[in-house]
Amino acid sequence: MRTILKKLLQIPSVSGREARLGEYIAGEMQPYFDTVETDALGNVLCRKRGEGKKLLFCAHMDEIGFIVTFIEEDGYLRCAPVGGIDFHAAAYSKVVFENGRYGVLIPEEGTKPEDYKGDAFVVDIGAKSREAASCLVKVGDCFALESSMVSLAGGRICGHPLDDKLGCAILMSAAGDAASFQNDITFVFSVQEEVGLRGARTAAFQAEPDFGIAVDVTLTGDTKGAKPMAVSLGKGAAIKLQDKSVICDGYLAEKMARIAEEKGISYQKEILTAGGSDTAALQLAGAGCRAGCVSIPLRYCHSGVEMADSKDIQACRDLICAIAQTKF
Amino acid sequence: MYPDTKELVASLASIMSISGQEERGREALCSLLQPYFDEYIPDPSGTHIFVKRSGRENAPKLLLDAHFDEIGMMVRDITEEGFLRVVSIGGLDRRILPAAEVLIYGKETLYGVIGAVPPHLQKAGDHKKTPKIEDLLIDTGYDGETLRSLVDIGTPVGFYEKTASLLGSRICGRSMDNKACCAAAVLGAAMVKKEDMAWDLYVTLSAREEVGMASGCSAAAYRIRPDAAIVTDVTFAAAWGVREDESGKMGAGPVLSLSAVTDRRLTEGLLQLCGLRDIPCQTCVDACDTGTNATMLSLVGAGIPTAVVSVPITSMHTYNETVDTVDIEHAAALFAAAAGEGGLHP
Repeated sequence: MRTILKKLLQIPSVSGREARLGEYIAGEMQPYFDTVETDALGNVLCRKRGEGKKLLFCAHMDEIGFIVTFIEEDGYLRCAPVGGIDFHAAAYSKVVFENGRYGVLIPEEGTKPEDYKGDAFVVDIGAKSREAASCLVKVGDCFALESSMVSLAGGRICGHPLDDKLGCAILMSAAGDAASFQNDITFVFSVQEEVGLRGARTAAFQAEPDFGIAVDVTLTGDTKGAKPMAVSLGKGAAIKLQDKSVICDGYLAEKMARIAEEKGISYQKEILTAGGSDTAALQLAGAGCRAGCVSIPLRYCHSGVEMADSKDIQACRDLICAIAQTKF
Repeated sequence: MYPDTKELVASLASIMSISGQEERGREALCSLLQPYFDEYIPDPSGTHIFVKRSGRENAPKLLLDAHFDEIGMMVRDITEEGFLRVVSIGGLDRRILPAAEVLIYGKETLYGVIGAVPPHLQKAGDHKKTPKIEDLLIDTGYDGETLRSLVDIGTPVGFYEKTASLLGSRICGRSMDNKACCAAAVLGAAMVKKEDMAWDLYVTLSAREEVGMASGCSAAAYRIRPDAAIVTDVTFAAAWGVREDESGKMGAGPVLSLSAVTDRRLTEGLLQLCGLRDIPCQTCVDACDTGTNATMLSLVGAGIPTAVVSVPITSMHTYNETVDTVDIEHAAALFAAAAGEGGLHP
């Protein structure tokens, strides 16, 4: 799993620019599915035909990042956030462009922390003039915080962007057990989640699932000063009941919890009061479906130091396999 | 056989199409555009679909969407004394409403003016306030009883419609947003020779863009199921008070949007085409939302690769939106090139 995750972290995929990652994932998934297709928006749909109900699992490939909006006379770049960037967390970070070029994201001198937003930041790529900068980057190019991953104590990992390459890695790892899947199974690696839950909608329209299950990260209530939330790192896979974008299907959530209990997989129930997920898009696409989400507890979401627990990651993988193996 | 650009824009602008009223001008629109298309398909959403076919079997479908609707007002109340109160339809610039000339599209089309308090009688600080639409009254000169016989609650009200030529190739008037782009789409369809067409071209002059959710274009696109789409809409032109990095330059060609929610391959294809055919063009960045029909259109059905090609205008959402017809013609040339042989790749 870590090998897969490390590989995914190396391929940039800011929302709208997922093509390279999609190509890589499609290639890796080929052996495990009957068909692997990339659709008009760039979603990767992997299908293993089977008897009975259609189950769709969906993890998003895209990561939050930035887009270059303007190149100043003196070679500094202006940018706009793509997705929910926290500029406090991003200030003074190294950033990487798709062509591998580095820069640093710096607030203008004298900017008060409360005024940290896109307009107040520039990227210094080392260029001395607009001409020099224009040879290296163009308006419209995307970049993201430098990716990283380190191991911490107690089997925890820390890095960026775990949202949602961790979900992608879990699905890719689960694909190894595809031979044992019941039902008609589609794995979707979706685009543009961070800019409005977009890719999952068109993917689910095509796949027409009976059950749609997102695989994405969720916040936790166990960080210092966190709002009360009944999800903790290390306490297992989180079965989503609700977030800001969706009320999950009650039948499906209960069924997932029963499967976890039967298989002895540790799980917790999740109600997220901030943030949305592809679950909402799956639920409403086409004629709609029963929708739910297996969430991976994640501390410090959307920062350069997102943190997850290996036990949770394993529990999520086990739960997804167990669901796919259960006749619906 | 191309129409004259200024005349085409003026003719389109003269067809009242306040959001929700797009079907009223169907006859006028169809007779105006009939020479340039093979087929007209009405859509229950209010969107007008015009088709120009390549004649090739199984040709891919290119959808060229320009919203047809315009901002305006709607009568909400007729006072005893014979004044009209209105609600706004779409994002009117409320600062420019007092003393504006309007047309009321009742049983007859009536002329009216929005009342303004003389500066002599304004209280200190009044000039700093933006008038609320519910406080404004329209005077038609009619008494309450006559007015009620001509106008009903729900009657659309628009700015007085006159398209005027400025020096050079610029024109100004009501609803250049988005009749300028409707004209670009029609002109593009007229310019591409049938025998050169690699795509079947569907031009949707779509309903209800100004009131959100892109419902008109999405409904039409669901019916058409195109292989690719180009949305053409107006954007901000560089002018006093508008930042250089958030505007296009008038007269410098259409503005292509780079965004997380549009298709970059398609956009780059269009940029290359501009280079190959010597069509001047510019780019802008719309990070997560284009503010056009493209944001929702790309999500119709199983998804549609979509690009945005804009025409820069000044004074957006006023009665004197200003556009350079050169930009309309360059946008049209790009659309014609895109639909033609050697144009966009399906």
